[in-house]
Amino acid sequence: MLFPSDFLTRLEYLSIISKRVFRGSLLAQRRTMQLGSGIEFSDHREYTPGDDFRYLDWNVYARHGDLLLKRFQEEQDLHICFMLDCSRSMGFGEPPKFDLARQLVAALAYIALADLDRITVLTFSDDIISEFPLTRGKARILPLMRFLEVQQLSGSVTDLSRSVQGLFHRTRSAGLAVVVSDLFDESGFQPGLDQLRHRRFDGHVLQLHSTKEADPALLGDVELHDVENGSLRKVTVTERNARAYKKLFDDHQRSVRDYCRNYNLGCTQSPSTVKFDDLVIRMMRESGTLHVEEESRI
Amino acid sequence: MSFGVPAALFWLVLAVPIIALYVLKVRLRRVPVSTNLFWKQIYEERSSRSLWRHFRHLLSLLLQLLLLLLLALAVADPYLPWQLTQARRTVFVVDRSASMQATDIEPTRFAAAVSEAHAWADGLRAHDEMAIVTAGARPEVIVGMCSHVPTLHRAFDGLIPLDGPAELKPAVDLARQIIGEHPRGRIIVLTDGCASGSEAHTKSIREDSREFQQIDVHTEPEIEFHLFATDASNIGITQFQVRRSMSDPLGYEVMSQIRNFSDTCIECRLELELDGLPVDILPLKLEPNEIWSRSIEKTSLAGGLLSGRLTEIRTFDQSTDGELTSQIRPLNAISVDDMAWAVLPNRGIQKVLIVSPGNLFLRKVFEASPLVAIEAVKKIPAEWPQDTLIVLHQLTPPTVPLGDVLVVDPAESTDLWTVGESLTDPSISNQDTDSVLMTHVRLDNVLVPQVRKVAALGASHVLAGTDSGDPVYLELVRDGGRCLLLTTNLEESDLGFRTAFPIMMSNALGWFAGTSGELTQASATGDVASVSIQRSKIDELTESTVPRLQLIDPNGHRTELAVTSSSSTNSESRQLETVIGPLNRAGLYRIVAPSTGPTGVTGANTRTEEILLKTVAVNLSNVRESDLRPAENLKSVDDNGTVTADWLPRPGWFYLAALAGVLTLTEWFLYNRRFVD
Repeated sequence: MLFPSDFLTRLEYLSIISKRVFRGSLLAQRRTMQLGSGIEFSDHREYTPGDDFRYLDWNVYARHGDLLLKRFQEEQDLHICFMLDCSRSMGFGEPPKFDLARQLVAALAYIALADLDRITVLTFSDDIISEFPLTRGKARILPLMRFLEVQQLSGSVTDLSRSVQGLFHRTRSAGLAVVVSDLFDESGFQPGLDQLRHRRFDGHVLQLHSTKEADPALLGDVELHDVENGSLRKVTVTERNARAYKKLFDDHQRSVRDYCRNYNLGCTQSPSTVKFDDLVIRMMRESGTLHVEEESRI
Repeated sequence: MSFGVPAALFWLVLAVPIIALYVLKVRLRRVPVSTNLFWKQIYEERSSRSLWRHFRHLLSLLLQLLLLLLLALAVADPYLPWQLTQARRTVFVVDRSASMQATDIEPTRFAAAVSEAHAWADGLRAHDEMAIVTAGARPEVIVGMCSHVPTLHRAFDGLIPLDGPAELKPAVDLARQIIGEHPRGRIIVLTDGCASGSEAHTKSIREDSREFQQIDVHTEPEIEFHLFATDASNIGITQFQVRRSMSDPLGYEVMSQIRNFSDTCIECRLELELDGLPVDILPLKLEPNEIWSRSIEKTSLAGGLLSGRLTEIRTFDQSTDGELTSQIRPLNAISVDDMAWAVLPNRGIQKVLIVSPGNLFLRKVFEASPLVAIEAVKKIPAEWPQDTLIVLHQLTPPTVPLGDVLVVDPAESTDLWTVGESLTDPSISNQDTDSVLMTHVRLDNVLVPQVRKVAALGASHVLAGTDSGDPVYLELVRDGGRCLLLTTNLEESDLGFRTAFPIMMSNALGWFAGTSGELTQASATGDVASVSIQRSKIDELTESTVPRLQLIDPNGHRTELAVTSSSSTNSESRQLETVIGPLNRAGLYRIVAPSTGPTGVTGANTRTEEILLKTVAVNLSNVRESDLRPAENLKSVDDNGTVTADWLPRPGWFYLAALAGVLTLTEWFLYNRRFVD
């Protein structure tokens, strides 16, 4: 079962921990510095014709005769967009990467909703497949879980760049983009992430892989079946080939880490065998907000 | 092509599962992967070998099918039709003579011959047959016609050279009989050309071959001589005998002959030892091909085993300035003729009791022998001593005592004879010259004025008698011991003055002592010897008329002997006769009566220790075997060079199996490359 009965309990537990220790750090939570119709006073400026009289500071005018306009800091909610990879490669592994990915999206979304942030979830493979619209409030977690539960693997390739384009079409405001994928994009994962950066999205990459991908333990004559695009390839896997595969896989993982570090993106890599809550806690630890003593209490 | 085991082709049905497995293998195991992203990079880099990857499975299948085909064919034992029609019969005649032990060819001539025979056995084709005959003192079939190569190899490995001579012609004749009238028979003689009479044999063999060819050229087997010899130098003892001296009771004579079988001078030493104690050391220097013979006189009361050994053998090399230089070289290619043995008979002290009123001649004739201990009495004693020769002169008891008794001029009748009236001036004309008791004795010119007429009451053997047939000297046969009776009156006849008298008494002493002669002849290797053993030596050991005897050869191997026992009333025939041989080893053969029971077991017929009855010395003593230089006519026939088998000498299955092995390695390589490359 994707979301067992105690799933919500565990989400709540994670939410409590995050409130105590995240302080907005987990998902780079922040407030915009736009001035607007907020309630928190910021400063004054001189009145210019056409300004709304409601914002004149009449007290100053009464004392000093100056027409000054009060300015307030506008509180704008953070938009968090979860991009969930639904390509068929995500169904690989035991347990499938897709299950862990959906659990992670649910967990992080719950934490964000609990923090009164707005979230949206986009599933993609070669393009945006489905969308959970922008929503807010903890109560929306159940519809989100239902949405995640019904998601199916689809698509013949992974095209992160095109999917990011789809994200841009659906939202105009930048925010935090959490990409949950294996990043097995034949055209490379960099163009998609580059676009996110260029649109001033704060990015966080959650890269999942299965242990069989890291060490396929293949030897001899086999027919490789690419579950994503269905292609077949008859090969003879020798020990040398197996060693070359491991090296290429490790290089790929390393390139993801290096990219994220270079462009100040969050990055979490994990095999699919890890429990989602353990992985979330690991993310807290890696963000530096969870200290050892707190971790021991957890 | 035909097959020896055509049913083995049934194994070809295994091709079905091989092909089935191949088809299954072509449908490769499908392995799902999340992406081909990385595999694509790996295999696109190696695209240059894609052709090989495509065909290696098919090549493996072909190799496996070919491997199966080869193995099935190998088990089916294929042969070509001409192999059946051209099947050969080969008989190897292997010379096992002593000269084949020579080391002039490494490691030995015999080993080289056997090695070459192995090569021939390896070249045995399908339906060929091979037999092995050895030429020794007697030809022997080791393996009859056989096609099984391992059996032939084992038989060749089991052959060892003997210390005796070899007769080639009987062995070749036997080989001919084995081949019969086979059209492609062949006799291969592996020899060193030093077999006894090999030159004559070769000539005879060739002549026989020509005779056969005149009868039917197709049935006469081809005879090939393969020579394993060089003109090696050697020196050896060709004769070695010892006997007791005829004149000196304590003395003995060693007859030794040593020959130099080389074209160089040889210096050596002949060391004589009697029972391990040095007797003499003779330095010798022999010219090329010289024969050194000498009779060496020595004295010894005790007998024993006399050995002669050649040591310190030096050859003289001609230096460039013409001077002879001496150096020790391993001249002797064989050692079996460097040592010789002989058995010197023992001379023991013989106790003699003379019961006589007194006769100086009779007493002195016994005193003349240093091997006699005399006791003389003038009356008949109440008790008779044991192990003593009793000489009764004129005094005779009514009952002749048991044991050895010599009676001279009996005065009274006894239980063995009756004394009649005296004969006056008889003429002694009848004499048993064959008896050892009468050796070198002539009584026909002895003056005998008076002789008592004596008639034996039992069985007797007259050694000398008168014209009228009355015995003068006779042997009385009885169960209780040996008895001689001389009826001559010593006081009145001139027998005491004659030389015949001491010789008669000496013969009698030797006869009573049990030594029929002074010579125990050493046999030559290869001989079959008839051996006599005194029954009295084992009478006390067994009650059986035919006792169990064993022969122990120089290597310690025991063989049971077939013993014949004579039931003749003649006391000289109370001996056990046995035949030993052929004596194939040089050294000392011992005839023993083996123990009849374990140690600690007591019983009437139980004996815990074996009794040595006789020792027989056996020496090579063969000039042709000691002369390692091959016969000249054999040198000329050895034009075959090194024996080599035919092209592709092994049977077809061997090559098929070898090719299958190569294919197995190839397939293993292909298989391995799929996983390790």
